[in-house]
Order: sequence, then C-alpha cells, then structure tokens
Amino acid sequence: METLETIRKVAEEALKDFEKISSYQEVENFRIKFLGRKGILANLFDQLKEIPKEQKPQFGKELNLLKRDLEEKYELLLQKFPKKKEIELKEDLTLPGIKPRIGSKHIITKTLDEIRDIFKSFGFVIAEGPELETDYYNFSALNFPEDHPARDMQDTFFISKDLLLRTHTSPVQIRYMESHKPPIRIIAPGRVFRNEAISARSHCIFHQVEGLYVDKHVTFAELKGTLINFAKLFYGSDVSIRFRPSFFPFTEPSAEMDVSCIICKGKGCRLCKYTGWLEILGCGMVDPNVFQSVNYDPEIYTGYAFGMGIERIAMLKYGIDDIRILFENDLRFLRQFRGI
Amino acid sequence: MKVSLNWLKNYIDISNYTVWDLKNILTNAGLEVEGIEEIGKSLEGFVVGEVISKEKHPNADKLTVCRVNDGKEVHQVICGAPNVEVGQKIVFAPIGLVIPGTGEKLKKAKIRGVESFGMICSEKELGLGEDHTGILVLDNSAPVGMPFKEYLGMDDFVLEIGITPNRPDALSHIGIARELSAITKKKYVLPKINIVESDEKIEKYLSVEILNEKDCPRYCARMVKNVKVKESPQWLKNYLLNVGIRPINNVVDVSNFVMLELGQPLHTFDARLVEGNKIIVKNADDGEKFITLDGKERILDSSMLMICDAKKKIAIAGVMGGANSEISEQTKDVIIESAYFNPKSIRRTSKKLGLTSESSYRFERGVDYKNTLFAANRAAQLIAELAGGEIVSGYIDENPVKFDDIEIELRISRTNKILGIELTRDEVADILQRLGVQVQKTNGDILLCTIPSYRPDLTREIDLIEEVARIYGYDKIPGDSRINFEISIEKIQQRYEDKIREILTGYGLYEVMNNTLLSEEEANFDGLKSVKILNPISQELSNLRPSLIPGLIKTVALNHRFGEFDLQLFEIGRVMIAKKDKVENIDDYVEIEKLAICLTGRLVDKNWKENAIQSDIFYLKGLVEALLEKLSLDNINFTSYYASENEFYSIEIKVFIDKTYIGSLYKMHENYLKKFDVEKPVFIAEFDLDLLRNLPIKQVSFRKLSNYPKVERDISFFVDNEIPYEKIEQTIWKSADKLLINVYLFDLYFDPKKSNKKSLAIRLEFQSYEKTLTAEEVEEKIGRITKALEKEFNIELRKLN
Repeated sequence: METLETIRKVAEEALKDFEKISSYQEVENFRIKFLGRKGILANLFDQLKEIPKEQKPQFGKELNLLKRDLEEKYELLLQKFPKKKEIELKEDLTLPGIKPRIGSKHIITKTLDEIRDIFKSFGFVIAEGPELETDYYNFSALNFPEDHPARDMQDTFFISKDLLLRTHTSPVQIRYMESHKPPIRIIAPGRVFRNEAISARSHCIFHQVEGLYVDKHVTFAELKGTLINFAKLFYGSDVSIRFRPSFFPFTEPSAEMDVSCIICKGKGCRLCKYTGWLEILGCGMVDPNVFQSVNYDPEIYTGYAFGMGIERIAMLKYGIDDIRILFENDLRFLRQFRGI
Repeated sequence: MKVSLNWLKNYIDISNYTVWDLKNILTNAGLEVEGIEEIGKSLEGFVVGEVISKEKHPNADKLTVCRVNDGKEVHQVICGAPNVEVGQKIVFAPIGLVIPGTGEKLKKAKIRGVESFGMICSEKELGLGEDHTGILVLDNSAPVGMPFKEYLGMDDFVLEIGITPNRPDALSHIGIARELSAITKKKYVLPKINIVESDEKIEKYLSVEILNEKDCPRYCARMVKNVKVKESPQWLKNYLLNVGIRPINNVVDVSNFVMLELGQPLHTFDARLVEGNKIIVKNADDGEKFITLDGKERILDSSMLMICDAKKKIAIAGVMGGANSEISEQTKDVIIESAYFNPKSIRRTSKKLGLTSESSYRFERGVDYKNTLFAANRAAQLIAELAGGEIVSGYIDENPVKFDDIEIELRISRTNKILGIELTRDEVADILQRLGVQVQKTNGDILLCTIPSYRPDLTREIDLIEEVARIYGYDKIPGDSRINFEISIEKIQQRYEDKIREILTGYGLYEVMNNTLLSEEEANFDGLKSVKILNPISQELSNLRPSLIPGLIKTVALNHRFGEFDLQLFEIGRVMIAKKDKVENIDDYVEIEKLAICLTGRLVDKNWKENAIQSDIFYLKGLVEALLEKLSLDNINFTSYYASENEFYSIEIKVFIDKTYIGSLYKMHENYLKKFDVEKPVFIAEFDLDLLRNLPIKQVSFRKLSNYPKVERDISFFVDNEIPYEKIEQTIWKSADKLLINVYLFDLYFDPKKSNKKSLAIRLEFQSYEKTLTAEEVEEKIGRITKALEKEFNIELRKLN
C-alpha cells in the first residue's frame, strides 16, 4: 500500500502549497506542478499500469478523487487570484470588441414581413402559388376576356401559348378559392414579372402582396376600413388616405388607394409629382365573374381583394430611387439595411 | 388622353372651376389626371412688337440696328435677319426671358460696339418650328403689345388623363364633358350641326356593301365635292397641336378633330381614287400586301377586315388607311367614312400587324354605335366650312346588324349590400340618370335601367353598382373596420422560409434576391434544362433559372468588382427546371422553391486577438448541419466525393436526411467561376425547400438529466490517410455502449515523418445515469474502442494523457 501512501502525501503537499499561494503566478505554478502534462498527477496515472491487478481499482479510485480534489482547488485559486495577465499587459479597455458577423434579410423580405404582420393581426393567413402560371389562372379566370385591351395593361412573358410568368399575384386568389370554402381571408406574397425594359423606374421582376377576403356579408365599406387601418399602422396614424375609382378586370367596384405623400405631407413635392398623394395599392370588390369561375355563388358571397407592389413601398420608405439596386445585391447596399 | 380646356369649354360651362379643381373632380371619379400641361408656358413674356426703324450697323455689314415698339416702350435691338423691315409685326423678346429654342437666358448685350436690349425672334428661337432663315413675321393685323401666346391661341391648359380600358366613352372631349356633367350636375351640349346639301344624290357617286356583317355592323358615309385642300385655320391647328396631334391639311384635320370631339374615328378617302363608285367591306386574303398611309408595306391575312373599292383594298378597317386613296392637295371630292367595327376584330388586326393608331385604340375599346351618322354629319359640315365645296345630298347608312339597348335590373338592396351604405332608391336613380342611364322605377327594390349606347362597359348589375359608388364618391363611403376573427393554426405558425431566414441571418448571412431571368448561357448549369421565354426582353434575360447558383455567382462577381470579397449570402427563391426541350404545358417542367447558401472569402476577419478564418467546404458543411439541426431535422447524412470531371464544381457533397436527398454542397470549379470573372474559391449549398419543409421533424420530449458527471477522455492515433473520418467515427459508435454520449474530432495533422499517415485526436465523452463512472470503467470502454479501431483500421495509438 505504498502507492496509496504516495497519493496521501501528494494530497498533503498540495494542501500546503494551496495555503501559501498569494498570486496568479503561484496558481499557475500549482497547476503545472500537480495537474500539468508532466505533473505529479500525470506521473501517477502512468504508474497505474505497473500496479498489481488487485490494487488497481482502489488506487484508480483514490487517484481520481485526488485529481478531482486538485482540480477543485485549482478552480478555487483561480477565482481568488484571477489571471490578470492580459489585462495587465493591455489595460486598454477601449480596444475594439470582437464582433460576430451581422447578417440581414433583404429589404423586400423585411417590407413584406411588416405588411404580413399587420394583416396577420387582422386574421389573414398566408397563401402561395406558382410563378410560372397558366393563361387561365393569370387572365381568364380573373375575368380578362380574350382579345381585351385590359390584357395590354400587363406586358407578359410567355413560355408557350398557355404558359406565362405571372404578371400579378392575383392567380393565387383563384387557386385558393378552388381549394377552400368561404370564409376566406388570405394574403399572398410573391414574385411577379412584366415584360418591360429594365430601368431605374421599372424592372422585369418585382414582388406583390395580394389580399382576399370572402364571406357572406363583405362590403366595400369593410374594404375601406381594413385598408385604412393597414395604411395607418404602416405609415403612421397621421397619414391621409383617399380612394379613387379605377379599373381591374377582376374587381368591381375597383379602386386605387393613395396615401398623403410621406415626404411633403401632402403639400406637393418631386416624389409625389406635386400631387400630394402617393399611389399605394389597387383594390376592389371581387367581380361576380371571378366567383363564377370558382363556383362560388355571387348572390351568397361577396368579397374584396387588394394588391400592392412591395418594391415601390420599400423604395418610398427608404428613399431608394433606382429599383435595379434591389436585385444587384451589392454588399454595400445590403449592409445599410442590416439594422432594420 | 389629352384634353384641352379651351376645347372642352365649347360643351360645358366650367368657368367656376380652376384647372386644379377639375383635376380633383375627374381623378376622384376614376379619370385620373396624370398631368397638367400649361400650353404656351415657354412663350410667357414674348409680345407682339412693331419694327419702327431700321439702320445699318456701323461696324458690321450683316447686322442692322432696329427700334422695336412693344406697346409700352421702344427698344434698341441688333438684328441679324435678312428679312427684317420697318413696319413689320414681329415677336419681341425683352431682356431676361429664356429663349425656348436655345434654352438660354437673354441678356443685355453689346454687339460690335452697339448695345442691344432684346431680340426679334425666329420660328426656331420660339420653339415653334425649324425655320431659322429669318425672323417670324406676323400678320399685319397683330395687335402691338399683345402677349404672343394669346395671339397664337396657345393660352390653354391640357389635362393628361389616364383612361382605363373599360371607358371608351371618355376618349373624347364630349365624353369628358358628359362625365363632368354627371358629377357637377351642369348640363353639357353637343355641337349643333347645320348641313346645307347640294342637289346631287350620294347614290350617284357611292354605294357600300358589307360582306362581313359581324365585324362591321354599321357603316355610314357622306361625300363633300369640290373641296380645296389646304392648311387648316389657326384655331383648328391650335386645338390639335395643344393635344399633341400634328396638323396636316384641313380635311384630315377635321377628321381628327371630330374623333377627338366625339370619340368616333373617321376616315377620309379621295373619291377620285376610289374606283367603281363602290366601297366593299370584306376580309383580306392570306399573304396579301398593302401599303398603309405611313408608307409601310403590311402583310395581311384572312382574319383582317379591309375597306375596298371595286378593284382594290383602300384601308385596313379601323386601323389605318392606304396610301393609294389618301387625301392630297389634288383631292377634289372627299368620302367620309364613319363606321362601327367589332372591337375584337380591330384588336386582333392591330396586334397581328403591330400597328396601333388613335383610331384602332378607340375601335378596340368600343365606340358608340349610335353616334356614327352624327359624326359623319359633323365632319361633312366642318369640311364644307373649312375647305369649301358642297355636301352631296343624303348619306349612306348600312346597318346590317342592329344592337338592342341594354337593359339591366338594379336592386337597391344589392347596391347597399355590396357598398355597405344605405342609399335610397331616389338617390341611386338620380346618380344613374345623371350618367345618361334611363331609369324606370318599379314598385319594389328594382330599378329598370336602359344603358346609353356610349357605355359598352355597363352590362351587368355590378357595373351599375360601381357607377353609383363612383359618382356618389368613394370618399363618402365610411370605412368599416370591424373584423370577425376565426382562429386557425395557420394563422400562428411561422412559415418555414421565414424560420430559415431568421436562422441564417442570425449566423451572419445576408439575404439576397437575384433575377429569375438569365441568359441562355448562364442558365446552363449542371445539365439542368432551363425554360425558355418566347418573347424575351433581350438575349441577356431569355431563360428562367434552373438553379439559384448562377445568380449567386453573378452576385459574387459584382461584389468582387467593388472590392467586397468576404461574402456570406443566402437566397430563397423559385427555380424552374424543364423536362423537355420545348415547354408547352404544365407537365413539361417543375417549379421548385430552393434555398442556396454561398460562402466566399473570410468568415472571420483577422483581429487583434485572432487570425482570419477563410471560407471552405467544412465551414459550409458545419453551417448546413447547424441549420438542419435548428430545423429539427435528424439523421443528416453526407456522401462526398471529388467530381473533377464536372465543369461546374470540383467538389460535391450530397446531403441526405435519412434516405431523402435534399441537396448538395459544392466547391465551385475554378474554370466555371472564371466565366463570371470570379478568381477566388466559392462554396455553395443548394437545397430543395419544398422537400425540406415536408420532412418529418424530430419531436422534442424531455429526457431526465443524469445526476452524475460526464467523463472526458482524449484518444490520439495515426491512421492511413485513405481512411475517411466518417468510417472511424462510425466504428467508435459501434464499438461503444450507450454510455458514450459524444465523439468530437479536435485535431488533425499530418506528421512529415510518417507519410501516408494522419494523426487524429478525438475527444470521447461518457456519462451514466446510474453512477459516477470510475477510471477503470472508462479505461475499459476506451480499451474496447481502441481495440476495434486497431482491428478495423490498423491504427497506431499515440500516448494518451
């Protein structure tokens, strides 16, 4: 049992050393002496192999206990005499922090998120549809007759006679109504396409949020109420709002909603082309022909729909004057919006 | 459409309204005023003057020193024009004006030693034409001192109105007057027509035969003989110029004037060039060629409606006339055509030919079929007034297809149900009557409405409800913000892609959005077929992306150009993969939502404590593992191999969840990157999000915590280079019991003295739920593990500590 004696001696020695320690340097010496790679403890573990089999369990156990004891002592000492080394050397606490990298969502996503959150709070759920659409969903089911000038309002990219890149998110209305029964309250965000030359003011891709509410007693007054609330939550409660009659094949009555210019507050400036108003979204009551194409009885159900372009809203909000920069993904641009 | 206020005043009294009032009134009724043009604004300040003396410039042969009376004062002006004479009425520009033709501000000048206090202007300097050979000399009757724009009749406001495609009735000055009348309740008047006819009957000169009644339900014609084709009077020219129409001659100008006045497009033929005294309306033959007024040859087909004489085609019906029958200075006798063509037919023709005109624009939206004869009479009257000649007695009115008046029953209850307000029957009836709708009240809820022929857009009850709302005023309908809620799980769930965005931005990545459209070459990626656009904007944007990767590399390239080399990006977006070379229908392609992650450059910058970390495939792999773990996906498997044969990537690691392939990690091939001018390594992972979101997720349930400490042991050994780490770890797990809770590779190095060998250092963690593990127990476990490793891979253990 000489070996167990060794362990006891080591423990005693350690205790002695432990009580004398008064600085970090001494703590470090303590660690090297007992716990270091070539320290006393490591040496003892090496001896383990040579110990007779029957003594091994007890020795091993004692040795582990000792190790734990020494490690605890070391932790205690460290707390008492912390490692000041670096601070002593570099007392300058104004040195820059070591920062993790910051990432950020695209501002189109962020703008969509804000819009979505408002409509979610009104009880809308999110629906989606494909970007490559059929003529039926993009036009016919939405009451765009064949050979009608209304189709000219949308410059379309065609893939084949029947396939096209959707020109608006409205096809999601049809798809959703085909697979659901009223009441329906959805918003459908997504990418849309127009066959337009790319310039500072227009791009061949952009994003929209579509909204649709169908139930038994939905009125134009409710459409107004919901969208006014949306605009006030999004642009601030002091914003003025107006509805102008307009035309979309899939709604009737149709309207466009303007908000008072966020820059000049309605006095007239370059942004609002001196009108005092900014056009924000198109909306209207779902046309009975649209209901018929999804086999809803327009005598029973009424509904409203609205759609808005996200780029325009984001550009107005952040003062961006060239739409192309949104899809160039220049890091210097992306970085500017990481905080929002 | 452009509407001149001077012109509009002929039909409705708008004297109580400013141009700004009118803008609001029309905009709020759905006729959006997109702009207001102040005509003659550039001529502000120019006045009619008189040259009262002219002397030779003492120091220059070609210059004269003139004195000009502007009605108030006399100014000395140096003039270089050869045609200036004493007594002429001219346009005088005082100092300080901006000269429209040059854009420069006029200053007091000393020319060759003589002072000049203004300018006598040429047509070009005034921006009125190209003539710069001399000064513009006005008619002798021009009153000295009168503002020049007033003299020109260019004192006008023009409204630019955006007319939606459902409102053909508003494509004329009368249409706008009618609309204003409905809103303001002021009466509007149609022009009075007074026709003096000669004794000759039109039947002597012309007959009309319609062979395609469906596409030409009505055709009216009148004739005026012995006209003198010349320039139009100034008032007519001004009206047309102000709304952006170039005056041509009095006959053509009248037909344009009547179209813009009444909304009915007209065509005028030189009767001498119409052979056989006959007009035939019929379809063209396939492949036939025809030269239009603009001198261009058009290739026709049998779907196109043509106006023909006894021998030849003379106009593409409703679209454009032919060069072979146009009005010229030699024209003596004029045939006026005023017809109603089927909107669909006109639109088809116009689209096929790629040819639109003011005329086709109106026909394809639908003109007033009851207005044809009135318009023909109006034109005949004006031609006779302005070009002389006699109106031949009688008219032709071929009307094979008659339209019934449209009658619609409108329910007051339905109106109020849709709008959410409470209008009375009288209120609704009053609004409709103001719009020209004849209303018959029944006893009950219903109004029986007869729609005026100029409103082809009103065919259903809902159309009338919109009219009621529009004239009542959208702003007067109160907003109703009640929301009746239903609760559903969909409403509270976070969308999968939103979750991914949160996770990845939290790891320091930026979200990007790239164009779906790529060039054909860019869209060629990894053997995927891309979908082609039939009518692309350009060759650069002709195909749909079959992968997010090309777009991301373009983004990397753009950023490299600006010295941004450290990029950690991700994109979520749709890709389209074609299954066939030619995509015809929905079975020929798939649309998939993808997620791509791109790492390049430094992940961590060098800082004052640590060294920089460069992106590599293992950081990408780790990031992907972390992401999938955050998405609660379990059993992530990677298979890796070097794909040196592939031209797109040099490394691909496929990622599986259980046995489902969800996507790959790539080190992009340097030759591929070079095509985009990217010189640094780029690592990209791309996943099928539609697949990912439908995978079963790991259900979390609490597991009791062990009350005993875990024990860590490190093992270190040499092993043959070829043995993959994955195999080693698998063997460790297999050879251990359930008390092994973690295996972690913390060091890897290649000892130069031991070629073909690598040294691995692995941390093993053990923990029991039942007791504190003793050193012996752990040793025993380690022993079992190392024995298994020795047996399987012939490892060479290094010293443990």
